[in-house]
Amino acid sequence: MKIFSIFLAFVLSFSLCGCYDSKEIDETAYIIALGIDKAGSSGFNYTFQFSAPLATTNHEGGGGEKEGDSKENPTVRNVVINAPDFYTAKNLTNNFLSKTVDMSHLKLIVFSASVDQNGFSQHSQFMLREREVRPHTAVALSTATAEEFLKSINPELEANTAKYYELMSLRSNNVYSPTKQLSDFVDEISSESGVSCLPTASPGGVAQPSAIQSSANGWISIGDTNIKSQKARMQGMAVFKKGQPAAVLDGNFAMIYNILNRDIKSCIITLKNPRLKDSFLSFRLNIPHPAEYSLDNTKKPCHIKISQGFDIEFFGNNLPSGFSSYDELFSFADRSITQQISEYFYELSRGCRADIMKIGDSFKKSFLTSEKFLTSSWESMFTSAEFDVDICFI
Amino acid sequence: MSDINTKNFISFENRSFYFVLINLLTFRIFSRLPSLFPKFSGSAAALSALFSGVIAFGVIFLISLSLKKHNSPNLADAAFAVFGKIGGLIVCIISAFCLLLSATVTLGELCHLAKAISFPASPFWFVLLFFAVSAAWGASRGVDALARTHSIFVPVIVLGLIVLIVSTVFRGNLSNLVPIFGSGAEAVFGKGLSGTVMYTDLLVFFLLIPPKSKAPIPLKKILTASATGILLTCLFVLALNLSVSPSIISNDSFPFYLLMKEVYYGRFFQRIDSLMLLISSLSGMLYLSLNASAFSHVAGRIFNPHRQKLIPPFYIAGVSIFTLLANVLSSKIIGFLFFAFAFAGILLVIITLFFAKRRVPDENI
Amino acid sequence: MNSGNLNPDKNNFDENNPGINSYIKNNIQNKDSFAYRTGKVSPVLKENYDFLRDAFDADKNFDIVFRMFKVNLDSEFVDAFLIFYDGLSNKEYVNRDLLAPLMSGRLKIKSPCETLEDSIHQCIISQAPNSRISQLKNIIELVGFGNCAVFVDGCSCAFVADIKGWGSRSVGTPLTEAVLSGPQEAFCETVMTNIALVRKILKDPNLIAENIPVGTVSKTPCALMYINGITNKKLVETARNRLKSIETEYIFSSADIEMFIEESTVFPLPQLLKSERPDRVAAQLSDGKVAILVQGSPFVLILPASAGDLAEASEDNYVRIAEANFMRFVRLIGCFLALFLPGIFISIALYHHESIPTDLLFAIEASREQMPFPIALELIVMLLSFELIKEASIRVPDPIGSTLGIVGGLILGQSAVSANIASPLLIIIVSLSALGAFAAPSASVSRALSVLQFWFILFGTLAGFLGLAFAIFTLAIYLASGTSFGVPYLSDIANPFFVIPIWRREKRPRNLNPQSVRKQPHISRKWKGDV
Repeated sequence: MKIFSIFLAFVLSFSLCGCYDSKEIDETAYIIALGIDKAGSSGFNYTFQFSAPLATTNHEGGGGEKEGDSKENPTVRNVVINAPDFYTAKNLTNNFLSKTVDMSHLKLIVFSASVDQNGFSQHSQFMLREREVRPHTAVALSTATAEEFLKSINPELEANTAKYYELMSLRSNNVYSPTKQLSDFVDEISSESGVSCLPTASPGGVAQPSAIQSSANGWISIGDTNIKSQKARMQGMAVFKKGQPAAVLDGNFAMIYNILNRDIKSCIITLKNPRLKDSFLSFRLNIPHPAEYSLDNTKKPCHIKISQGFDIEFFGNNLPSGFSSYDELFSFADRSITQQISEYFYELSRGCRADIMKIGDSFKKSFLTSEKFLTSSWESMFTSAEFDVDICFI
Repeated sequence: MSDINTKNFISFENRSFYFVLINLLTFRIFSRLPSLFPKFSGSAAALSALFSGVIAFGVIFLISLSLKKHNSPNLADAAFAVFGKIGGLIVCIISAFCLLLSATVTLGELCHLAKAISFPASPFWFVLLFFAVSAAWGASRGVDALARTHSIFVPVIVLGLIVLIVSTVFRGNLSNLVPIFGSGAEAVFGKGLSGTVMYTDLLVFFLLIPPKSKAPIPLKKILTASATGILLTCLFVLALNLSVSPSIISNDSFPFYLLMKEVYYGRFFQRIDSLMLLISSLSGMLYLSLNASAFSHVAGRIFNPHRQKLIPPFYIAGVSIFTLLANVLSSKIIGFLFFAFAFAGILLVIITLFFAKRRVPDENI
Repeated sequence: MNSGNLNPDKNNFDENNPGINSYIKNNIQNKDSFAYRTGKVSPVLKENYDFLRDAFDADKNFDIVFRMFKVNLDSEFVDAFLIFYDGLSNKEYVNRDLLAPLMSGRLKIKSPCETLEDSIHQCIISQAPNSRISQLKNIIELVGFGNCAVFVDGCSCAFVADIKGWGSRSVGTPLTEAVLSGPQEAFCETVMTNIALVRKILKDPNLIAENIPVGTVSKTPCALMYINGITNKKLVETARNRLKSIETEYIFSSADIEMFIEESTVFPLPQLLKSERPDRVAAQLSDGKVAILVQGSPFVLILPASAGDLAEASEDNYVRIAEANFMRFVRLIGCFLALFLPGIFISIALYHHESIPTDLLFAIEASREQMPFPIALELIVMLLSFELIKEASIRVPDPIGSTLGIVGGLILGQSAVSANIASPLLIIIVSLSALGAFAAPSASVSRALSVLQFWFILFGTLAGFLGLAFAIFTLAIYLASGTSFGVPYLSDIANPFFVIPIWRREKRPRNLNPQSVRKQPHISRKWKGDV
């Protein structure tokens, strides 16, 4: 037993020549955001945003609100590298940095609209398979270039930019843009239809909707996408079809998307008072469950019924002018919301032609095997469907 | 202070055998094998796993019934009693090959999993060193000590698995479960049957049962433990089916690793990779030690029983060399051999114990 | 061994005992005397006197007292002497209970059948317990232990009176097992007092205290205590055999006995319990364990010990169940922190950065930016520094102890952080780990945890959580394969988690295999039916 223990200790001593994966924390540089832009005919511009910990711990937060002041975010360092693929770019970062690059705290991946279908698919799959990257990493689409968006990020209330990204991508926080995680995005664009959606991210300064409209793909701009702001923001959503962006929807439609998916548990909607000029009515909607979809494909075209319940609350001490009772007020709210949701579905069906609400999943239930579902041509059914929206206030 | 010398066998007097069984039936969760279910069955992976689980439980139930009627349930001893000296030797040799292949595949997979989770730059032999030394050490201390260690670690491993399953199953997407028959009934109930390979390591248990025990064999507890292990495996596949799209799972991926990455508990507990590495490593080390002990018992029956204590370290060294070689050999050959011998092992158990009823019991071996 | 003119057949001295033989061989001048030849008390007083003066080296030892006197035997005087160690025997008893009755003339031979020895024995016994011993070896041992031997001319035996009067500590309060709600008595260095402390709690006539002297020269009295009818006979026999088979010259404390009788000296955790509380020893005896009390040591050994026993503290039995369970939970957390926290920290810091919350990671990175040392080295240096402080604090004199605490804690700790030699987080880790070790219920366990944590640190540094898994597995297997007097070490591993109410402790621990399993009926609260 003694000899055996000594032998084991001898064998184990070989592990002392190891520590191959040992890394000191202060010898590592952590990427907190990644931007991917198309560069010319081949290759990409990769923007690696590194956290500067010394600046993070000394920084008190606040990016300054002076007009026209383009103060850079001191807590991050942006390195832009042109390379044919991601791993080449990652290796090239060591030409600039002395520390080992680590992606285990990557919070946000931003694509620009110039990236093609292959680029989206390839990069997102690489990221998902990458050991260090989490499947919950947020993904967004920049309305300008990803580099511009990342460089314009300068959080006011957080000292740590990574925390800013994390909190921004929390589902319950942002009403006017969806949240999309890397795993869901990869799953959706890898599917047969390649239908997905991403939040749109706009850098500070004047927005450039023409950058989207002038795309060779011939996008349709729906709603008010002309975002004017000095601050970088996430508002609106980009709809993907066949793995590439097909349309941009504004914040209102993004809110409806969030409501129907119950990605937000409550929100406040403001409707114009039809009975009084320059007057607005605010309601709080608490969403108890996601919307339910039922399909009647016996009719041609098929009918899709959308049922959603709300717990509604009116903000106001008194009954607003022009309304004789609260029943009248709430039925007005009912009609307005129903109309907005119907418009939303018609735009998805006839405009974008993309089932981002995944109504097809409930349709899938009626088939026994995947093969039968795939041959049922759900896409053509959706793009010609009639929608019945049924709202009830609890 | 026990009347029975259970040093080299699993004792039924304390509850440790319960945890040994659970570990034997669940440790394959950490291997590549659960990817068989979504690979063959698509969205019906959970259904396929449930079907395999039911079949496996049925087999265990049948074996347990025959255990009741036989007073020497240890496979090696029963084989000698049933088939005579030559037949017994053949059964022992086949069992030895089953154990060897299972250990080789397990060791290789454990090392790859550890490398995938946290050690991408480390050489393969470095990671293998820890598993091999721990298995040799564990096997050298006796099965009794191993069984006690199971009763400490297996509850922790099960708890970790439950945390993993609960964390992912409620965030999953129910639409991943439809269509209900996925790739078709034939794939689910035909090819999906190959998923029963997850439970074939029960062979180790039957090699380590005490040959002539004064304590009665607790059949109810064996069945309860088996049901628990199988249920846990099925729940794992269900969580996998709900949370990870089948398109992401490939032949080379570890489903456990993919599922583990899906866990997210807010900004503080962001990743539990290291904890999962801990529980998967512990489960693997426990299994490898038990495998080595079983092999030493079988090899002792084949060769000189007095040299039995020397066998585990050489066995582990052999397995380590095979594993390093298997890295360069075709995975298809290794995979085929593994499947073949895994099912052969369980078949041996069934046949031996089935025929054992008809022989005169208490034959001097 | 050369024994001179001694006839080996009649030699009652132990030929193989070098201690006895050395002083016989070297010191005794008259090797032809009856005493030397036979080893027994000679009827000739002078022979005994000369023998004993040589045996005790009376010319050099100034504390051995040879007091010559005359026994007043019914108007006849007989020469006699008594021998004792000044400081070990009570001189007042010598004068009052031995000399006075023998010299006062009260001694009379009452009948022709009564011998001189009988008369003297009867005279002394009314004053002090004494026994008649003829073996000189035994007399020498007893005198060395504080008894007083009386030799009378014409008697072929000596009268050894138990009038020990050495100075010793009285029953005090426990130092290492202090409790708030329980008894405050602790063992002292006198074995008889200790036996009495246990016996007064149990009051069981079946409580046996066997005397087993250990040490060929020191003959240190060791009491093997157990309850007949409860304790497993094989356990008692094993303990007895191990004690009797110890071959050494001197035994100084229970720690020596522990090292001689435990299964494995390199076992990471204690295999015998040590307690200085009589109530705890009594409770363990009633459960079927065996206790060994050693003269000169206030720590009693309780065997067998298992992992579950190490988690028990005396306080658990004196507080309410909820409090006891909470305290035990805190204690287990403390032990967990002591053992694993440094290893987990170093694994995560070197290999698993993804497990650290992002905010904390950047804070650590910022604080480590100016540190000159690698984190593993820093951790080991901090732990060793803390061990130094622990060792120093045991020996530092009280007057400067508190000042040293201020210097060490505030100035040195603060300066180390300000000078970027140590990071604040690491100091917190080391402090938590040390506090956790102190939370262990027993000092031996606390020290064991402090040593074992380095095992985890080593493998955590080598291979992160894989190394930790390896370290945990190997240690657990080693503990699982260990036994303490035949009882597997981890046999009651489930016990440490819960303290159950006393009315539910119906059976004795199963792993001890006691003769009597049940110690109270299922319904032990008879009043319950009345409510």
